[in-house]
Amino acid sequence: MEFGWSDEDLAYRRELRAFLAAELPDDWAELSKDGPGSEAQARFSRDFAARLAARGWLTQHWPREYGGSDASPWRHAILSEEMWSRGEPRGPQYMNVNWIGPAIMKFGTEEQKRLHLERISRGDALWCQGFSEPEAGSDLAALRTLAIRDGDQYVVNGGKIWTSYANHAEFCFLLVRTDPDSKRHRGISVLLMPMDTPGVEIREIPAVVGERYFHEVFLTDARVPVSCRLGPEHEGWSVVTYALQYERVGSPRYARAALTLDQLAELARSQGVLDDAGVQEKLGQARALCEAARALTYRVIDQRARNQPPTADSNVARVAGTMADRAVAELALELFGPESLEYGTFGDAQFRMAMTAGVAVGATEIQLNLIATRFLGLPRA
Amino acid sequence: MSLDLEFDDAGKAIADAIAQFCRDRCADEVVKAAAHEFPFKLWRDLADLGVLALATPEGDGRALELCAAVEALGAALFPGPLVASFFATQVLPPAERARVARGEAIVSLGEPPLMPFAPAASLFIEVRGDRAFLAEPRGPVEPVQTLGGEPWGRVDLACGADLGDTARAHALSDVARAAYLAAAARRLVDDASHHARTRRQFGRSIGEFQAVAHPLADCAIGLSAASTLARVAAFRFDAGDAEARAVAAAARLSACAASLASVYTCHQVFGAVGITLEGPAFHVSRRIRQLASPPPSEETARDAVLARYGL
Repeated sequence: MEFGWSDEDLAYRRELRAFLAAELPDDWAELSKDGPGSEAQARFSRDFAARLAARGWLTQHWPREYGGSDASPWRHAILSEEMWSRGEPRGPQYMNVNWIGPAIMKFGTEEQKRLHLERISRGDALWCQGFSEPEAGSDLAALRTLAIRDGDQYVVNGGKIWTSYANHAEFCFLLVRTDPDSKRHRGISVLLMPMDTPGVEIREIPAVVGERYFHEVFLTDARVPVSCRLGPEHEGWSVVTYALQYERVGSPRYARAALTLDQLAELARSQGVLDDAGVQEKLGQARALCEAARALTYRVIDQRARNQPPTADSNVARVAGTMADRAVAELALELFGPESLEYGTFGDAQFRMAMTAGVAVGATEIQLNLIATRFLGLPRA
Repeated sequence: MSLDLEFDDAGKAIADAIAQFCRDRCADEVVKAAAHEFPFKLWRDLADLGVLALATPEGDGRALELCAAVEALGAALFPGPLVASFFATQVLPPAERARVARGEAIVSLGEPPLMPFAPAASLFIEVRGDRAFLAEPRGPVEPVQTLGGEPWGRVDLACGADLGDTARAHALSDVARAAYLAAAARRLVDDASHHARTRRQFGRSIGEFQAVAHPLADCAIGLSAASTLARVAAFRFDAGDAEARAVAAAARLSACAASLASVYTCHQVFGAVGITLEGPAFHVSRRIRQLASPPPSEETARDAVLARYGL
């Protein structure tokens, strides 16, 4: 076992920090206050992602043939940590970079790879995921959106909900039922649907975590070429299962939570309360939760770096991250007092983030079920 | 010994009257609209019912009736500086107390420069630990947007007269805060339980899963305890019991902890719909989160609880 960064990794982290210091504007906190879906941040993030791509950093962990540089997953992890610790200036790039791109690499046709992977690696395309439906949330296999074959096209009817960044996305990783007589996990396919397809309508659902975060996507006789299908027809569930294995661990939110803790400690010091035993205990407990989430996430990255199949470790890491998020949110609100209630302060932002932490990217209850069955070998209920 | 934790007829009567008033006048739209501007008319109409005069020499009722009224107000998420007003009516001179009780003076109570309800306030009280002072703005109030959607502001205050002993004010405002928070959170838990009964996933209602049901039951336990403690504290306050302040502080701490735990649990039960601005949860949870923080700080409540150990 070895647990330490190489000199190259440390140098890379320093380079990233210098890059962020130079590239993030002075008013970045204000600019990013309304979230990655806001017009202001979305515009900035597109440009920022292109600058990352120009340096070869955006998809460095991808194979060289698809616009990457065969870098270790650790390099990408360092990048993600540094980005999250500065409020994630990449915006909603994580979907394309983390799992949509890899899914296209594994299941895509040559034409799909040519069309999509280069654009993603240039930071030139945003994606959204069309998974949840009103009656299919945690129970994703209950989805009803139908895609009926008509010659070389699918005619798609139905709707998706809670679709993040649908207003900015050029493409949607869309889950549909291609066999109308099928049930549950069978008869599902994945379509890589252009969002400018006629018949696609988007409506924002105002959310507590920032502007244009959630959307409903209405699909009415939307015609999507069969060539946009990812993987075999009716076997989309295996594509999704593969993709979600990459998604489950989620983003390194612990990095943002740890940054908030650092700021809290500074505040406590400036107010002369850092010597308070109660404050120290709570800071210590919250820090321990952040570090636990970090260590558990590293475990998952290590497995990926060794090309081992994903395990329930990613679910464990995800739940640990949720616990850290909540602990830091409550501590921020407690230490800052009423000042933390002002909109846009990091106490306020952390509280809003903490409310989503156990819901987004697979609800905590689902993660716990997976840990119980896969990690502990308990029987399914 | 007998122990009866139900409200008596007077308490029930005022609870029923306030609940009816809230049904008529304080629908969700009113609660959400109050985030943008202070509902002066609604506030004065509440005062006309005598609620803000409770537990004062001029008022008709005691702390127990106040507790009953605030439970009803909390369940309706009634907007405005209720806790601050009950603090104020215990420490202000009679003339100012009467203006607050009649709903004519809106109270801003806090630690400047950030003051709750400052843009709407005409009476400022600065609190420092166990002491409170009348204060006057030195300049204009700069409005501040808050998590709870209440109209707060930053203002430079000139600290004035010391308002003297604040023990009764702390006790009564702690009772009010505890009763409001426990009732508001109970409403959230009831709504989340309804969602758990009706939302179906995996072919059954999600409430059939113990992972959903048990955390909701935990919330109900914590909130029942907090609500009961608030009633006990109010009873002791009325009886002139020396321990009333410590029990009220314990009620406040219990209610804050239980209501915040309920916020996380209920958002988890609601899932994504709980994260929407127009959904069933956020306008409740933001109010709870906000009311759990403002001054007088929790530290003064902790000190009151620990006083029995001579700490």
